[in-house]
Amino acid sequence: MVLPHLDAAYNFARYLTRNPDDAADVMQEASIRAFRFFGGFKGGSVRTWLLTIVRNTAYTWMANHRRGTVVTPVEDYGIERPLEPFAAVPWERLPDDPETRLLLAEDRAALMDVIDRLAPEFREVLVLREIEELSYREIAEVTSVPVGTVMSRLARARRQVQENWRRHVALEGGGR
Amino acid sequence: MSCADNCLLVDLALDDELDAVGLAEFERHLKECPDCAVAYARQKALRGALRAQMPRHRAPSALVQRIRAALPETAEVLPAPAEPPVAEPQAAEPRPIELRPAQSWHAVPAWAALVTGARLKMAISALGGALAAAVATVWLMHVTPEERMTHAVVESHVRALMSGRLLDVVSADPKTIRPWFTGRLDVSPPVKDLSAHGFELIGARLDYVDNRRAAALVYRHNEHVITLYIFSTPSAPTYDSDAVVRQGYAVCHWSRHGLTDWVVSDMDPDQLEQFEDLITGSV
Repeated sequence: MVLPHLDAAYNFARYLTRNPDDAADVMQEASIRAFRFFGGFKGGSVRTWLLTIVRNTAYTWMANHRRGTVVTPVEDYGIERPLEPFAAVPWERLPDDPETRLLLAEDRAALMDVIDRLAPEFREVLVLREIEELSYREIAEVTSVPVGTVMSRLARARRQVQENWRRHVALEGGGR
Repeated sequence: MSCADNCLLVDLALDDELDAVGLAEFERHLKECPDCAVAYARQKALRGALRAQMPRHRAPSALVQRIRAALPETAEVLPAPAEPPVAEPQAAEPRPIELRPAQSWHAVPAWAALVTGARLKMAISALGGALAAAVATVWLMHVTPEERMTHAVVESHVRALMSGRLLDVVSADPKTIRPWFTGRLDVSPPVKDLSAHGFELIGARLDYVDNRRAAALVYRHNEHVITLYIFSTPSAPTYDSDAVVRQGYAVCHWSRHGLTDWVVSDMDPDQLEQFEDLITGSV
């Protein structure tokens, strides 16, 4: 049996809570809410509607169940700083550059760590765009912010991932 | 000229959020501005990397079972949703309709010629159970991009078999097949010789599935034909999946190094997963 929306919903909850147990709890609660509020469903994409419920549930849930875990401080790596250009060679042919390493990385844990360190408002737009492939308008709907905000958050999220990944590579791959 | 303002344009272009005019302008700008060209190339690389590498968590089956088990119970506890207000002009007559769901099923057709829209709605809202079932159906059965792709690859596979246009290039040699795609696709698909494992490479064709070009590699295993579709970036969100069976064909898909593979065959799902292991594994 394929339960595609449950996968999408769970995946989103997992990224929001950063923890499988919490994600399962959020999902269970979100599914109950989804059925209760189905009357509020105004048509459109069921997936978007469901993701909205998952998001609201997750934030409420996290606010009520802080488990003393330290919330990773939001580090701003400075979007204003221009990105230093690197050689105008297609990236495929640069075996040692960080994006290529990211592409080839077997080390998903490190990538997960980089994404987990994003502030929630950046992490959620990134997941909705890159995994769920929602449009800006749909992301705006799920996260209840204007499209312009989605746009700038997404840009910042990407630049932060890029910066943080470069740091990770620099720290971990000193010999490279 | 500093192109800080164009930073967002790079993202917009990447996300298909520019209209045709905007896109044309952006492309013209890229030719003149090396900074933006580099930024765009890097963002594109990052996007490919993220899509290939970000974990896609599947809902654990225990959780799915718990949620499904909770559904009927939930439906009973809840009041019928979307109770319409009785105060609509046509429904001036205030007499409440007290029908149990089982009765209203029979009652509705008999009234159909007489009742106003508002009354009909009330009768329908009495069918709380049926509505909850419909909700569950929408939840579980709504067609997702993944389902659409599954359908598209099965269709493509069957069409190729029926039309006799199964192969554009006939060869058992990966060294012949891979270069054949040069200039025809934006990826150079990895081609594996699996004859040692009983999967015989017979050739390849260029195919067009779900509005995208794909490399279709064709293998044979005993009397079964297997098509392996290789796409560059995924257009649909996908989760690495177990094999599913559609119209008698087993289908599964996965991603590797920025490519998305879909495979379809009339083999058993188990055999198909064995094929998947051979393709993805370090064999």
